[in-house]
Amino acid sequence: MRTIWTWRRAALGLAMTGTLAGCELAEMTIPDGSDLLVVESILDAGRDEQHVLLHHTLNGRRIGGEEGASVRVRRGDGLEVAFEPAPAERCFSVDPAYSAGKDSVEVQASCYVSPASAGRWVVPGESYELRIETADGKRLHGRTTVPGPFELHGLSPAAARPMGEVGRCVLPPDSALALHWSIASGARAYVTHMKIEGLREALAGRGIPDIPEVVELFGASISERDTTIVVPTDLGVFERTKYSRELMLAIQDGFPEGARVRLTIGAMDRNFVNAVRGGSFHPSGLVRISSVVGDGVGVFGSLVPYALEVDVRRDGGEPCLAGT
Amino acid sequence: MLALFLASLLVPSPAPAQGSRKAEVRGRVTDDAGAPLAEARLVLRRAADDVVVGSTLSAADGAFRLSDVAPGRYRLGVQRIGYETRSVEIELAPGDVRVLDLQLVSAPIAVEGFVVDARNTPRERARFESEAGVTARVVTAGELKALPGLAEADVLRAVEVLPGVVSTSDFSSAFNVRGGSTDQNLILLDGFPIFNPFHLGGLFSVFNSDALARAELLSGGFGAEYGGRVSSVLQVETRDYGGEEFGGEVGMSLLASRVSLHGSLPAGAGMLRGGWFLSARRSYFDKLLPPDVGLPYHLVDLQGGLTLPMPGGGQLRLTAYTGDDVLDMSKRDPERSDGGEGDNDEGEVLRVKWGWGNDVVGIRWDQPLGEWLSTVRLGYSRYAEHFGLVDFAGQTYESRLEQLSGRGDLGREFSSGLSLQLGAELSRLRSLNLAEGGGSTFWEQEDRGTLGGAYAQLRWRPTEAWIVEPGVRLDAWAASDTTFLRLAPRLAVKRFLGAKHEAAIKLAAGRYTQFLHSLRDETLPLSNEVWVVAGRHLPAVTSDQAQLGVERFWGESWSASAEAYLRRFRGLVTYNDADDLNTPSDDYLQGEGRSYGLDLQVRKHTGRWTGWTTISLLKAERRFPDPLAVGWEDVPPEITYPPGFDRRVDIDLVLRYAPRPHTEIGLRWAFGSGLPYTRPVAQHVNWEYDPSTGRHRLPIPTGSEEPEAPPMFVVLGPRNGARYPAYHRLDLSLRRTFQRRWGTVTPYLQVLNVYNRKNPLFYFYDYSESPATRSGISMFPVLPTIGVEVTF
Repeated sequence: MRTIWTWRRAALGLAMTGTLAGCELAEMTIPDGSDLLVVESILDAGRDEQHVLLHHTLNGRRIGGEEGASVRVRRGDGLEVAFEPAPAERCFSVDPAYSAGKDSVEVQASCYVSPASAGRWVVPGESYELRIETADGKRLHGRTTVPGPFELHGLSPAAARPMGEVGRCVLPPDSALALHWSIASGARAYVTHMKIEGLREALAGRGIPDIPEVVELFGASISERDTTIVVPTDLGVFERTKYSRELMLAIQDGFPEGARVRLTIGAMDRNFVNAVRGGSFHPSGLVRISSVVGDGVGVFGSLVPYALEVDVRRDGGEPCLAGT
Repeated sequence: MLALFLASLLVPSPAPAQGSRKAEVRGRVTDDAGAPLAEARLVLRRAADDVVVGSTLSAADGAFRLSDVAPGRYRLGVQRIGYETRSVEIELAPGDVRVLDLQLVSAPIAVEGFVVDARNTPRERARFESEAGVTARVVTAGELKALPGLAEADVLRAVEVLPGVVSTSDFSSAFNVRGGSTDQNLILLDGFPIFNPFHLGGLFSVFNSDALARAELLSGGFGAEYGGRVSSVLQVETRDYGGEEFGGEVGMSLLASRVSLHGSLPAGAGMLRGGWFLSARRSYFDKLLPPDVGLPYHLVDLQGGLTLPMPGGGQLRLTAYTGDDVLDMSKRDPERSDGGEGDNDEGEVLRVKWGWGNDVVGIRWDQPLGEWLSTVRLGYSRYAEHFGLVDFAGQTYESRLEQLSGRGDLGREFSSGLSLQLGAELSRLRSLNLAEGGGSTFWEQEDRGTLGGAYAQLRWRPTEAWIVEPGVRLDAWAASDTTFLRLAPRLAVKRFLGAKHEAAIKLAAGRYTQFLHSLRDETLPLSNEVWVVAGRHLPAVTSDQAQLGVERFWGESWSASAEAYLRRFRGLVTYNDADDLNTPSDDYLQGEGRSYGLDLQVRKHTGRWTGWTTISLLKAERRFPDPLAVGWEDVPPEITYPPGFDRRVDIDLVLRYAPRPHTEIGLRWAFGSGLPYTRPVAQHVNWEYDPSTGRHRLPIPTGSEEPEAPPMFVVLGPRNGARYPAYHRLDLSLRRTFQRRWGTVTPYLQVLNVYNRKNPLFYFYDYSESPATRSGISMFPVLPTIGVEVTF
């Protein structure tokens, strides 16, 4: 019996190994892909300056840009804003790690920003149309309707600041923060973005290896009426494999003392949601649902955000929730 | 009930038997132990010219009846798998009622596996001789065993080699029939539906081959008695062990071990003996390989059946099946690191607990009621799936479909030229799909409804050369928020040709409806069905179909058929990837489809080698609205594309060869033209929007010391606008049976993909390198497997 068991184990192992090893197809070179213009633009109702990032599909590790394009956004009431070329850092940042090594990329994406004279021209509830025309005649169009305004309920005065400002408050360690807010008309979903700093020091001695300097977690509230989230318990659904299990368990029910958290809760429009959730499965990689039409692909979406900075400590400072 | 009423108007009153000058032959078929033999084929031929004047199958109690026979001399032949053919000569005078007791002798075991199955496929031939419209293909238990399979015989793999059937992947035993989707196949286990009959996402079917008698695929033209699916009906039938002595089969393969036991039940007073069987199967991936190295996955099947003769020639039959797939990583060390290249720095695993499975239980009661034969069925079918993370509560996925059904059928043969079948069924269905995580419900769909159906199917043979089958079916589906009512008329006509009626031309047309959809992504090689029911936001599927074919038998040895078909589908659904999360009305896109094609088959039934070859030609198309085109004048509002199973040419060659007694060689060669896929045309980096800074950025994956390439998106070309290279594969099997005093031992060797053809499963395009590259994953490489079967 023991011999049969050993034989079956060996045969099964051999079959599995052979199957897996024998399923790879030889790599072959193919012609370069199509050169397409790609648009990245999220109108942010919490900021004055808006930007449109233009880049191209890859040609090896070079991300080409699009200089000399005409970029205009027209609001539903007829206001038209012509974007101006700007230095790259106004639109995007690239970690220096991408500038060297075998996986380095050469980034030449082009940045266009709205002029300061336009002021706070992106407002909740309005519709906007993007029109891009490149120097060689390519045209792209996109439309977005910015979700309506909303309010965070139950926050203390220091925490509840108007859109565009940052609220500040203190949260006791190892406690959760239950947030709820009013409905933002037209929102397809709400995103909760959290940047946590100070975890390395706060969790020192717990034996959790390689804690990053900054931990970023996302949470999603699906649909216009899904207006509650518990921080941090409900965040990190999409980062389960990104960070270590011990780290995720350590902050599952609350933050450790000494952590600093920057929270952004935003109502997203259709295009932003479609871009984030992606399209159908494809073995070659993620597929993004484009929200522009014409001679290229990309995203033209919108966001209505509220921001909150939370210090995690036992006493002192304004609490996050009113009456606590 | 309307159908029943209409049918009653169509049926003429039968003439009193006493007034007829015609004769009748009736009786019973039994085995050498006196037990009744169901489904023995009886063929009545005129002695003078050998012309077939009637044929039938024996009922569950072995009874048969051939009425309305002209006086004269005849030869009555009776056949059944596993028994010697018998023929008796009879002479019928006007008004004679001849009662015959036909006892068949078991075929010698020494020739089992060859001669037994060389007796033709009785049901297929019987259907040819007695039915007009249906396209039925039968795979017997013997053929099933001889067909090379993955580790062990698999009935759904065997179905793939039948005409009109397309399989898109070696990794999945799901199949498409004549341009229909996989969810449009009604799969019945002893007459009861089984919703997701696959293990490991489709790699194996749930059916234990030891317990099966045959599989019969109705690929088109099926009659009004079948409802609920529009594309095909696959009837998987377990063996009838009535009257058999205690025995069993044991099988071991690289996949699993299985055991099947059967025996008879004590006979009641004046009753025949009933039978029972019980079979079990379990895989041992998880037992052979330690949890931290191997796959902590196992499958379990448990199946049983009971046959009880009833007073008055009836029979009660119980069928039960339960099966589970379990991927349980809860015992895995979450901090384990293999140190391999694929591990991240922490070497951690995300521990999941994932299970899914089917349950079926049903009881069928066949009972003669005077001139009528009644069949009553009560059954419960369930498919359930649950996925969760061991370490993080609240993140779950659950999917479930349940059906509780009752059905009654009544059949009567008024004469050899006229029979009627009536029936009605009532089912209660419930579907649930729930995905939760992070305090949000990503998907919640729950519905239930009641399905009522009634049908009438008439078979009329005005002359020996013609069969006409009009039928009508009425289905009503009452969901929680709406009601559907669908009338589905069906008509089939067959004209026999030639002096011996061994050839025929047939035409069938009809409407088919279904109220269930699966949202499974058919581009995935392994995945489970995700069932939803029709409702206010989900249409019912309606398919109009027509087919024209010719069939020809050459004695008992050869047959050939050619059949052209045209199908149109309405009410197809697919996920709307760009739906508005605020409203359920746009969760799914509603579309249409059509297909047409030609199926050819040549089959050899007897001799040292048997088998068949099929050529299937298909063109299929799907059309769905493009939700992203709304509001843009220069974007086409609809997308038309060939579905992933649009295999234009499919050729199968299946051969069984017995070079000597006890030895059997099986061969299968399959060729298929390339399947469509969506080719990426470019790739671009994934700029992430950071709401805290208001700028885009290229993120670095956390935990990597060396920066990896930035995350990327692919830009796709036209949907399914490219095609993979042609598929072809040769499989071989060798079986040798050793006779022992207590039974038999049959070791077998199977080799899949003998010449190691690299059939692509996926291509991976990488435009981030210069020059751009394409790599990929192939389907099965050359794959030898061994196993052994023991019977006692």
